Amino acid sequence: MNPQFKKGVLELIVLECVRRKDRYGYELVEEVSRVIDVNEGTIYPLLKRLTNEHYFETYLRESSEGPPRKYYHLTAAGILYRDSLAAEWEEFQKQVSRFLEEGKEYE
Amino acid sequence: MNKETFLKELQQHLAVLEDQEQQDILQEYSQHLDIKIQNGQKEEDAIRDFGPVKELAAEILEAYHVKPEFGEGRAGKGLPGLGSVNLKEGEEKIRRLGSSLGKMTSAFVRKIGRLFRKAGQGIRVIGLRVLSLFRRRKETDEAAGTEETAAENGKAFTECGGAGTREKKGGRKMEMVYERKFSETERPGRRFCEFCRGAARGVGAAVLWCLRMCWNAFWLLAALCAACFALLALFGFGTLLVLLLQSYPLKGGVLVCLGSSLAGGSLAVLCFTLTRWKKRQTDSAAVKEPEEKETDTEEEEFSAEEPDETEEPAGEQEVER
Repeated sequence: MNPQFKKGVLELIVLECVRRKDRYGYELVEEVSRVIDVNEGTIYPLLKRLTNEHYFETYLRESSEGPPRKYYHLTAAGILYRDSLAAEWEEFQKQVSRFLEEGKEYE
Repeated sequence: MNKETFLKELQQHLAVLEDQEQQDILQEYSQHLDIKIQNGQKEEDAIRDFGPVKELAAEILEAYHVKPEFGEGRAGKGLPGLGSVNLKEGEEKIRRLGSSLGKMTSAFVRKIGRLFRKAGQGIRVIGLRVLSLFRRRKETDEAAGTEETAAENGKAFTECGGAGTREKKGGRKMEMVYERKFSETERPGRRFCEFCRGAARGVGAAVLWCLRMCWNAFWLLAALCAACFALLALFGFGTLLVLLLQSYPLKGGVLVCLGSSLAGGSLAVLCFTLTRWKKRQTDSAAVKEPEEKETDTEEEEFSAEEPDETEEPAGEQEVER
């Protein structure tokens, strides 16, 4: 898959993952990897950025194995941002597929 | 490459960031590696999945809107580069700006406070003038009352005097009668006057008390309303501030709430000071009034004693005779 595509849509996928359930970093990376094949390292900076922009809140929770884990939770602003991104994605995807459909007439 | 060297190298690339932020992101990576190793993956493989450290660091710095070149420069030199110096200078500038802003706002607030105090003093002066007008009227009323009583007393005296000159011809026995008459004719008048004066004073005090109570109640009510409004605005300010921090576009609302809370608070304080001023006034009036009463009663006692003294020696003389 084109890495530029991935980069653009990664934010939406991460927001959606956290919206469904509060998750910690590794869990989130695994969940995102199920949808698109992405370099594991790139998700953490994204999480950091979204947290700095107040779309995520973080809290620590004890785990049965190892040190406490940092969980990410979607804020109200994050939900709004995710909805706007999802709407944009829908519109974008529709327009692109409509354009591709139009192209079939030229074949 | 093992985990430690990976983290160290990554840290070198991220040296531009604050220590807290570095620790934050490095901890995430180390935890990620820990979990992977726990799940049975080799340490090196887990690290290789992250790709080249340089690219990873560039991506992290991009998330902070930092140019990746600065991170590289830092990593190469291992010493604080130009970027960090600039950052520090910027920080200091921002801090200075913040402190000067704080000073300006505090000075502004102080000025507003002074203005309100002046306004309060002006209102107080007006109030004092109104009060002094009231007092003067009361005093003139009282003076008129005393004049009237004096006139009545004078009449009684002249009548008695006339009676006395007539009685004198009738001999010494009649002098006793004259003196009795004197005291009898004088006393009812005096009593009436005292009663009038007391009643007037009582009515005046009651009216003043009512006025004070109305004044206090009005200002207290106003202060309460203003305080409630200020608290509400403060609550709104807090809520909107939280929302603003969550990056909702609510700057205008926050400012409006802050302004209205400040205005309400100062209004409440102003109203409250007005009531307190009135209370102090009443206190001082209460301190003054007893003194006045005391002097009044003393005068009354003097005036009451005087005829007695004149009477007594006369009686004694009569007995001696």
